[in-house]
Amino acid sequence: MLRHSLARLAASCIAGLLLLTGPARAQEESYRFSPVNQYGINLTAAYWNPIISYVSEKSGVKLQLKIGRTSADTTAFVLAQEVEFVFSNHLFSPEREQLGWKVFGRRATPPMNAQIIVPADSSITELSQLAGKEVVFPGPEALVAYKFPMAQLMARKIDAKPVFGGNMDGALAQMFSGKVVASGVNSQLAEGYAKREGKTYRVLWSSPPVHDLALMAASKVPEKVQKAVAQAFVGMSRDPKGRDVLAQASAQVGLTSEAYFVASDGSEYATYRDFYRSAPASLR
Amino acid sequence: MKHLLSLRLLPRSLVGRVFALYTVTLLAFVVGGLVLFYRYQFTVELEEAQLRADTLSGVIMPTISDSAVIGDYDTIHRTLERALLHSSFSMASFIDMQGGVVRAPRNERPEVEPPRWLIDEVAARLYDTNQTVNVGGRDYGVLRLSFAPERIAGRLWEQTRMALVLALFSVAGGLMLIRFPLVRWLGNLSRIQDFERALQTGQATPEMLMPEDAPTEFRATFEVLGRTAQSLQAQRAQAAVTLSAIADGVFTLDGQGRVVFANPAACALADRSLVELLGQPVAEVMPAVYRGVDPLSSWTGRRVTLSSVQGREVVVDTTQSSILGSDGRAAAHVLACRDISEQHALDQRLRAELQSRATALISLRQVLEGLIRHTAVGVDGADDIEAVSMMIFGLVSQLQERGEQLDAIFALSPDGFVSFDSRRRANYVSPAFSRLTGLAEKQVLGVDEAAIEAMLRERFTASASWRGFAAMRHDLIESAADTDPRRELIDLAWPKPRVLEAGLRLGTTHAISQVLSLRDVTHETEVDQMKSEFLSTAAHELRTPMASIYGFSELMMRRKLSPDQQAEVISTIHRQSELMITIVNELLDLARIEARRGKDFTFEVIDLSTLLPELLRDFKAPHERGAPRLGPITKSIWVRVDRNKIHQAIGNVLVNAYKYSPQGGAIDVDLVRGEGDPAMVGISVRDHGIGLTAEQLARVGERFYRADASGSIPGTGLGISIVKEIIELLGGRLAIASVAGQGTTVTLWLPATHELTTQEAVMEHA
Repeated sequence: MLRHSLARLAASCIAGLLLLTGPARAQEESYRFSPVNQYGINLTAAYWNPIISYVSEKSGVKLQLKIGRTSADTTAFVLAQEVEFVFSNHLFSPEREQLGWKVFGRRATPPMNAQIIVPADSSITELSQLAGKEVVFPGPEALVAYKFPMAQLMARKIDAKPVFGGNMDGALAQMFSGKVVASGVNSQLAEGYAKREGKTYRVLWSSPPVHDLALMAASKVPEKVQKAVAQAFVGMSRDPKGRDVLAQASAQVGLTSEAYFVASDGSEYATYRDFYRSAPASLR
Repeated sequence: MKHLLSLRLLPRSLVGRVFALYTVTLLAFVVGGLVLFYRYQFTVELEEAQLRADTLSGVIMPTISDSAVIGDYDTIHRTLERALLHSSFSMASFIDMQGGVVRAPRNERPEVEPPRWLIDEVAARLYDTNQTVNVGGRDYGVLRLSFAPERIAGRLWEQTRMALVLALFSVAGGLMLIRFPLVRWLGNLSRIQDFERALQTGQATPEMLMPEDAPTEFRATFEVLGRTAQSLQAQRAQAAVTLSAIADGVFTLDGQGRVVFANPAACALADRSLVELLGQPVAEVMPAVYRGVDPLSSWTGRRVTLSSVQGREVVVDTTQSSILGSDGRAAAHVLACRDISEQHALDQRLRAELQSRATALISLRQVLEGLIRHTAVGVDGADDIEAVSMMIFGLVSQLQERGEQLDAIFALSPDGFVSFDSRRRANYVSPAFSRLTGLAEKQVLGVDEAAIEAMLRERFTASASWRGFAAMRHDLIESAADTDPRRELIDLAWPKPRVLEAGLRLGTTHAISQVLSLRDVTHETEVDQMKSEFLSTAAHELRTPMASIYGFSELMMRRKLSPDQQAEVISTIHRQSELMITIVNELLDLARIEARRGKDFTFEVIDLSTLLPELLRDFKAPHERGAPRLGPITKSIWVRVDRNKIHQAIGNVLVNAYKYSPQGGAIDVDLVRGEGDPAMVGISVRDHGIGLTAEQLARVGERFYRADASGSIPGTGLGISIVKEIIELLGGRLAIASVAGQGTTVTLWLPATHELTTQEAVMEHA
């Protein structure tokens, strides 16, 4: 019920925003926050809405949640300059770093991996068996769940056919329904999905550990606002009320209460930047 | 309440109800189908719209990318405009990295204007499609397709309206199709009303309910109805015949109490014809039945007397029942009258009989209460029968108890009884009677008094002098009430010599005319005889010295005697006087011993080994005779005796031993031990005198019996009697062994005891 209500609220927010024909910043004191749609619109909204409400109240900066249908929507919102804050890892390519977005925090989850997985009862045991078969990914913009695994397949010259599920939950649903044989995943999201849905899977390939997505702010956001928002996010774990909000939100998506936010200067995301330097051109 | 309301809303006819049910069901299915159709179309349409957006983005993306790389925004605009033709999008736009926007709007209204709520619903579920324009890792902008929700909603609405129209046509057609057969087939049921009217007139036939086109179920139902109607008509005819035949009068009344039918018996009771009765208020026809009663009420078993029915008085038992209609009110009434005149008369006689029996019972109770007034039988508050039963039970218990008491008394009584009935035949014989007379109960019972008298006389001694029943009865009748009847003694020779005292008492009841009692007075008679003999003997013994004294004293008075003669006479008188005194003293002594039975004895434990030497030392043997010789005594022998009395007894024996051995000879005294338990010790005195014959020995101990018949040995004949009494009172016995001419040994046997301890001795003295 709560999830349904939150989803309706988020959808209403988006609908309202899309009707705006003018520049993204309709009001000076209002800023838009777009997290990558990792769990589907309803779950993503259920996770971020209470956090954004808490941060708005704590920082005094009014934030509006803006969730896209796919993970690519968040990047589109960035490129169209329609959001001021994002929770994403799509902006570490050399070209996008020139947009001036700055990392001010991250989620203190254990390091995650890019993985290629199959259902636990699948007959596929090697990556080479994926040749000529469809492998599902969240979307072409998904760095950890698509670009990392796809780069691995291309490096091994395995000619798998990529298909997209829109987001991580959509991709995993296709794999466990048998529509495709394997999936490229963000290990953190795959574990959360398996926990929520009671599924088991087997890992065919796993990347070196990388950090969770980054909290980023656009360069046009005033320094004062950016700091207030960053302090509110980082201070959540120390504030009892913030801890409660975070714990309840994390429980919705299968994260532990330890998945709080910490400050970051962006140096932890060197792995991402290195990938763009060595990745095939089609994946950049 | 709700149930009633729902019932009222239902059509009243079966056709209407079936049609309503069909309509509701059809509508429910159609509406349900419409809803499902709408939801399916809605979901599919939105999914397809989203898919079309993705596809369209993929199709135009190469052109947009290439144009964006070279900055050809006109191509981008034209591409976007073309992409929107005949599409579901309201606008396609390209946003470059600097924020510039190329828009291609398309303001096209849908052919069918959808409702606002549907547009909002579609808009809320569709999301703009955003795709980054990236070439070689560099971003050039964003391609965005925005949906036109009113167009998508318009298509949905158009489909829904079409579906609604089709549904309405389907419902209307379905209702029309079902209406005709319903009316046609279920309408057959209206034939039942015609059939009912025919049934009322008695013209109904099963064929009236058998239309050719009736459904199978109806045909079966109509067949059952037809058979039922036939059966009903037959029953009505049968009921009419039955009512005419029965003896009870039956009036059928309508709801207002007017007669609609009366059978012949009812007409007879009303003393009118059926034609005269029909339509008449029943209260006027039968006024006695309805006197003080509501004519429209119901009752059962009310007894009414009808006067002057065909010249006689008739008692009827009436019952009126109401027949209730569907609305719960009485639609008709039935009055049944049963002629119970004979039963009524019988009841009256029975009641009178019961009354007389009740009176008799009360009288019986009073009599019994008088009989048991002194008993504890509680009858207060009980009804007469119960009280009488309890009193009879109490009396029977008393009689049984009294009988048991009498049986016990008669069984234990030493006296014998024979009771006689009114014919003077024995009807009871006590056990003692049989024991005393030797006549068994079965010999006596039922036998008359003459036979019993004869049987008794057979057992008489020769000297018996019983006068018989008749004389005794005569004495009872003739003698005064306060005088004792004459004593009747019967001497029986066998079965055992007895003396019986006979008594006769006349009875006062029919069952007992007289009772003969027999009391055994044998012992009393013997004692009386012994007393007489004793008195005779004592007088005789006293008369001998008295005669001597009298004779010598007379001699002295009449003659002048010499001094020597006078001295001799006086000596004789003195000696005879001493003898008299001795006799009298011993008689008194004997009498005192017998009277007190040892109560004046002073018992003590004495050692005979000490006593006997002392006693023999003190005994004065006759002149010129040696003292008694005591045998050797080795140890102490203890007895519990009165010292003086044992002295007296041993002394008497020693005196007799010297007296009855006039020729002299030693007198030996020994202590002997007997056997048995308790241990006995004997004091034996043996003389060598004249001894006793067997006959004499048998009479030793009798008062005044002396073995010396010559009279030469002086004595009273009471000494041994006294010894015998003393020894027996001391718990011992007297034993005499004697041979005539050789001597006599008298042994006084006494129970031995042990030496007393100091404490016992103290207590003994105490």
